[in-house]
Amino acid sequence: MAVIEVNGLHKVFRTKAKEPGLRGSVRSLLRPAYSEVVAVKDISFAVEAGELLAFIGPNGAGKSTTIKMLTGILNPTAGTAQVLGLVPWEARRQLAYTIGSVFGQKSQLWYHLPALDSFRLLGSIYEIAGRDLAKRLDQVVELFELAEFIKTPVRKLSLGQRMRCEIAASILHRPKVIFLDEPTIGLDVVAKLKIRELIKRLNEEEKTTIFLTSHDAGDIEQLCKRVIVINHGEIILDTSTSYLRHNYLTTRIVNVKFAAPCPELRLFHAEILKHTEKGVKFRINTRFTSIEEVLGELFAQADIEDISVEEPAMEEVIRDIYGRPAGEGEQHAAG
Amino acid sequence: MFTEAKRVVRFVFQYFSANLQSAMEYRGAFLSQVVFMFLNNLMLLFFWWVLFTQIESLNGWSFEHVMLLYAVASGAYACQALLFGGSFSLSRAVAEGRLDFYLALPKPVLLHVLISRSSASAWGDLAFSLVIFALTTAPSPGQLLGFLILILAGGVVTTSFAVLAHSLSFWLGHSEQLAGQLTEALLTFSLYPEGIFSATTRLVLYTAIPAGFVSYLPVRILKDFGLAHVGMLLVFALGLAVAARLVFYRGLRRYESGNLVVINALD
Repeated sequence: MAVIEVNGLHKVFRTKAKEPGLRGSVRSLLRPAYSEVVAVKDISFAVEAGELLAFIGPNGAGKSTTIKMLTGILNPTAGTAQVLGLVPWEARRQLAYTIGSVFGQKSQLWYHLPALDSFRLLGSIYEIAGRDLAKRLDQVVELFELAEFIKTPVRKLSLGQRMRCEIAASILHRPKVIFLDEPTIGLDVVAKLKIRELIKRLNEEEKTTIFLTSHDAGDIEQLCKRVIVINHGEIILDTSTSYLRHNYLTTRIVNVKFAAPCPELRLFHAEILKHTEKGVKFRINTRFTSIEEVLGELFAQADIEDISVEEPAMEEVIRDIYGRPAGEGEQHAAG
Repeated sequence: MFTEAKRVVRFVFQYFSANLQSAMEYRGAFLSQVVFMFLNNLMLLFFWWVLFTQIESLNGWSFEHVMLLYAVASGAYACQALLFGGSFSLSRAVAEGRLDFYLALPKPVLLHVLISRSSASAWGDLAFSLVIFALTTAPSPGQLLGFLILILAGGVVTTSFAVLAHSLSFWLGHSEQLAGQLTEALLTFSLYPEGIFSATTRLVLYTAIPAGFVSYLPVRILKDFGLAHVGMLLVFALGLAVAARLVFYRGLRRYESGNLVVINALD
């Protein structure tokens, strides 16, 4: 059963157009001119109950605009959408009781108070009765492992702990669908892993449908089975994560620090980006070469002190999708 | 309806309590803000005292009238700042797209934004208001209750006026400064005796800048109680609140369209 159904959703913003410089500003003040920006272009998709879907794209692609329309914050210019059977912008308050949202860069917690106080306030906003709230708080504290710091003022929490509290705050009312907008933004590797683990548990244990946007290819690879890629307001790929992984998330940048100077280095299966006596940075494409193969070459020629692997940037993935021959970048059935 | 009213009161109280707890996290800052606001108000009143040592009355207004005026005006302002502190930064919330947060929650957006903040220093205003009222009137519990109703009505007037002024940002974009000037004008006029103004100015002060309903009319009620005046005040406060709500939600439609001049609509 589909919990989100989107058909031909379209959003156009009217923005003020101004020529550069002071003259442009004066002219715009006297005779303002407007131009139209298409933020979301006729998109259609459906999300099934219990799915963990990644909705990804570079900055300005239309991700947040789509989420804002699906949560009822923004009205669309054209098209229809239903979330849990409700039209979001017509039944926003009713819908708010059954969905949750976390905007990674905007906090819903009180900065100077312990998260527990924010949770109680949210309990009252969602009209959860006292005993139910206490029970739910116990569940959420256990699920998100918050016991250690739930009574600490939010300002004293690490970013990772704060994000755990943010997500916990958004599920107090047992939403059936949750929109997570960049939940791992700014987090270190360990905190990212923890958040991913918790999102997965939320999806598995509470059967919550998760609509996730992220810049982080790791979030998508490790969490989602299906991915929708949006760019310039259009859906350019709707496919399974395994398809994306095998076909697009294939480049890796590897940084290597040598234990002893290594002035000469030849790698046959990688593209060297930078090489000094102290280290080397190279790109490999896992579609054609395995990391082990390249590392084998490397170990044969140098003493290695440290290795780190970077995942491809979202912009690179998008470029790659566009770069493929026609047909390959079109919609694929999610598997 | 009674259950709904109870729910709203509980909701307002919980925000009020969270704001108070948040302010008290910094004990020193909280107490000093309260004390200094009290002293600041006292200093303003001191200038009037100096003036009234030179003259007996100002177009029928004595120093006692002015004390009542200060008690009522600072009380009304305290009600606004303590209960509906979000009204001071409403245009900024619009300009920064912060209404998104309230739109995503199942509570009335305007009420939610208004109660979301509370000013700690306003406890100094409230204390000042009650102390000055007690000094001028030596009130009975009934009179005290009446006074609280008057300042609450005044607070509804100042809050509604602020909502109207700040809602301009839905149409004008960044109009925080303009809204600030308008609300400041209301406060300033509320702190001067009605007697010094001409009939035309008074007309303005009972309509466009409703200082008359924040302080002059309440002072008149306190000095010379009349049900008609109480009725006028309550009807005006309610009417202005309804108008403010209407204008805000009309503006909110522009916000929901994403076409506000100030909004960076794209992600």
